[in-house]
Amino acid sequence: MISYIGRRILQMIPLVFGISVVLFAVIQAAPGGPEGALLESGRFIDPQVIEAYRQRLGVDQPVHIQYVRWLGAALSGDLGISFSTTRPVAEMILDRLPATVELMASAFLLAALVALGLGVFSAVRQYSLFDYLGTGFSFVGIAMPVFWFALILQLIFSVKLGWLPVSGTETVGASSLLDHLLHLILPAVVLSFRYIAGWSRYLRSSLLGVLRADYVRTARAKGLPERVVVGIHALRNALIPLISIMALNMAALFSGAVITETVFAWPGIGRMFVQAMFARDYPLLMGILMMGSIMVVVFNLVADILYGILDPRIRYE
Amino acid sequence: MSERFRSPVWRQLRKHKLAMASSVVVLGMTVVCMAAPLLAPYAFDAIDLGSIRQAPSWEHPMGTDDLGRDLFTRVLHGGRISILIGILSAIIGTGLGSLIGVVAGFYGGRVDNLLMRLTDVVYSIPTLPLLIVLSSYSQAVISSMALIIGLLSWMATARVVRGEVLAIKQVTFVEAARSLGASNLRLMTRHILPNAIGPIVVGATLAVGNAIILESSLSFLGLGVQPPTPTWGNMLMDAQATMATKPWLTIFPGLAILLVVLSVNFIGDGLQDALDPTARDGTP
Amino acid sequence: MTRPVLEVRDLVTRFHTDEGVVHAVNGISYSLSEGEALAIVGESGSGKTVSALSIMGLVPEPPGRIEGGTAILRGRDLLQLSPTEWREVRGREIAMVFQDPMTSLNPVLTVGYQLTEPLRRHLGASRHDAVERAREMLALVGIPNPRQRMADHPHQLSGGQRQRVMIAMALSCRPSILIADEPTTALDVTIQAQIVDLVKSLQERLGMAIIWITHDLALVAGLAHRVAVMYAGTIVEEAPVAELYRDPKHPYTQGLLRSIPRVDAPACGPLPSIDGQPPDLRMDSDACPFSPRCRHAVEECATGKPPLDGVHDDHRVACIRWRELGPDPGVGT
Repeated sequence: MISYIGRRILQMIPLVFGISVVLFAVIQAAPGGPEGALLESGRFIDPQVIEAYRQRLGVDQPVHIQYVRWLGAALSGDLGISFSTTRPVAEMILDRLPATVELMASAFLLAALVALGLGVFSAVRQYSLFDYLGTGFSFVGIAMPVFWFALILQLIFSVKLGWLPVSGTETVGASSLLDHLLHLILPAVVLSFRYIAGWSRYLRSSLLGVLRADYVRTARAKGLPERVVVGIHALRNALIPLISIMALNMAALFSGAVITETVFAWPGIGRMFVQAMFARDYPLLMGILMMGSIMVVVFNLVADILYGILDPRIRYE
Repeated sequence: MSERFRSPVWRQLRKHKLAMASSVVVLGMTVVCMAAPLLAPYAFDAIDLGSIRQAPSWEHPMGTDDLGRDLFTRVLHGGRISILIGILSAIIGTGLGSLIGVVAGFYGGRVDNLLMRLTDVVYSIPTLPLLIVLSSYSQAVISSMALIIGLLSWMATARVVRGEVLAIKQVTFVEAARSLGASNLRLMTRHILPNAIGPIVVGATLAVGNAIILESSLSFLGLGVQPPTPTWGNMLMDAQATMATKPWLTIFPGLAILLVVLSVNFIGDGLQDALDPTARDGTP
Repeated sequence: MTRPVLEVRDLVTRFHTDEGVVHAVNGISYSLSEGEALAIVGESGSGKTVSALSIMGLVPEPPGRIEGGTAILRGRDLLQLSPTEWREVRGREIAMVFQDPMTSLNPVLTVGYQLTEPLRRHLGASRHDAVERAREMLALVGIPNPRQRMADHPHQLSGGQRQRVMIAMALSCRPSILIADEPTTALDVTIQAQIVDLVKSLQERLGMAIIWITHDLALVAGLAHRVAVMYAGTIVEEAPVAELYRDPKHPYTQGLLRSIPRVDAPACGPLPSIDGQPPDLRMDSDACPFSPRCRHAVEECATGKPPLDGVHDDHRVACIRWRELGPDPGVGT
């Protein structure tokens, strides 16, 4: 098992390397080059100063040399300097990362828990009114644009009912843990909604398949109560494929966080990304893209390990 | 392909009432939106300062915006762009994905390995942020938007098609055709691709919905097609400020997105059932 | 044989499907004495498995439904039990071993967990006692290194070993009845014989009654005391095993016996088979269900279902012509 985890981590390295190459190429493809945004912003007039900057940034070198330099610096934790704030990109990201992780983790947990309940109940009560409603709900949830759902919830719960704050992470002058949690509710619900819908539907059909399996009949033949038959014998098998789906959805969850943070003024790296885009702050954009991708890769690793734990048929050799 | 659609698949699909109703909705909305310049009661940029921010009424079924422009007209015009981008990018993404999937599955070995690692890489990069960066590089017009979205949505199709190709390759008729001297190109286009068409069509349908959501998200962030040209996304961006007092500006464009995407997904679901009736999971 | 442990009377089980009502079991009756081994023989679709699932309360509902009859186990009618009461019977008083050991064990749970589960539930055994007992059971069914096997997952065992685990699990609570539903069909021939021997020796040691369901009439010879032959949801003949082999009365039983290769008879030509197809169980006809395929059918056979008629005390046959047909020239000595 340990060596399996070790090998999976080793397999991550070429993947992260590939991601960095693709992202670097994307950033280099910026019209006028990524540094163009800085140098031609009008802040610098003297051509000599511009040339000096070009040399300092290393952009006079061929692209592959630039990449190697970037990679070397990135490996030592240096993601460059932000054009807009002149602060180190790594520092800016680390400042904002906790908020994003908090939001994504809350949304993930919420989605997983609610989807578990909905999926199991719909499968056990197949063709019941609840099952029909659940299926309808999941179709709507999958088709609903995140930002519109955010607006509608703000409209109902913040503007009309006044129950929850519209945006931000705390009420100025009245911050407390409870206040913070109240601010978290809407963004977390918005971000999780699509996954509640998708995962519950997936779990339902996975569980329906498993409930027809021979070993579930065996469990019933042993006289086990339904809650044990479904909750232990069937559910563990039904959850295994769901983990792959969850891992597959992680990149989309990050995309969702970008929108959710923007709508709710949630100070994470997603919102910073949109701001960086308007400022053409390419080092920061590159840094956040890299960070987001690494989060996805790490989550996939966790999912793989979990898969190995849940499914003993996976070989570790 | 035409035969496939006249055969049991088509009959199965017609039995799927929700998918049939959705087809009517999608077709209807597409036609109405495409014909917006002819059908819409007003011009999409006709500013009427005499009737700004009006709630829905008989003259303005969905109300008017801050500049007195008729919202219904703008929703129709916005739909043109959203639906066009959705369909075009689904075609591009599915085409690219099928190509990559077929080549990877057919040649196997190092080609397969390379292409699948590339797929892993692109899959690991969150789509929306990448889309945000790429879309800023070119003018936000329909063709370039569709191209960029298409370039970022081929991975799922590539994986599925590769899997299908690997399965089909084992089947005897491909071996038989090969032994008769069919060329690789001929094998792929004549024997393998038609047999993998089922998942490709389903994937393409679902891709339309995804693309519409991606495009509207981008426009919503102010990075897609720019005003005054209306899209459902940038109309919602405009509406954000006056959401509390003029909720109809928020509600209608969003409902339009929801309705189209929901219908497209229902069609995809129906197609899936029709193409593979054995895999039905008992969805009501 | 002593008093009956299970009395099944007029059991009717139907499946209400989109394509119509399937009459899977059409009023079968049999009794099982303590420590007796009864074989229920029939081809696939004859209702033998459904009849067993019915007395286990495991008929999938919907679409299945038990629509009539009684099944008295120690004075209680199983078919009237509440779901909770039925759970107390399953695994405790009646246990079942299924056909395919490759799919009948849960792939994600350890052998030990699956074995101790019924012990802890039905006997209230402590964790320690349950593990101890489970190991004994594994040893009893002939699994080497039971201690190590407890931690294994099913995929680490061979098919034969898995079926032994299934048997150990079924017998762990010392049920009075074991239902074995074609437990050897999915196994290699050599393993089949081992499993049959195992069940036989376990019966001698533990003394439970067995209902052995099979399509293979040859298999039951050394195993069962009594045989019930099922056809199209009904029992067509029932007799002690030796008598059934020696003097089968029903044309269907005769046909079945003729199709078994015999080592003691000279080989002459291909083995005879029974012509025609089993009936469509969606039809609820009044005729003898075997009459369309029967060489001896007469007009009268189409007018009513033949009742089980006693040849003598232990031997019953559902054929109106059994007296006139006499012994089958193709079988026996």
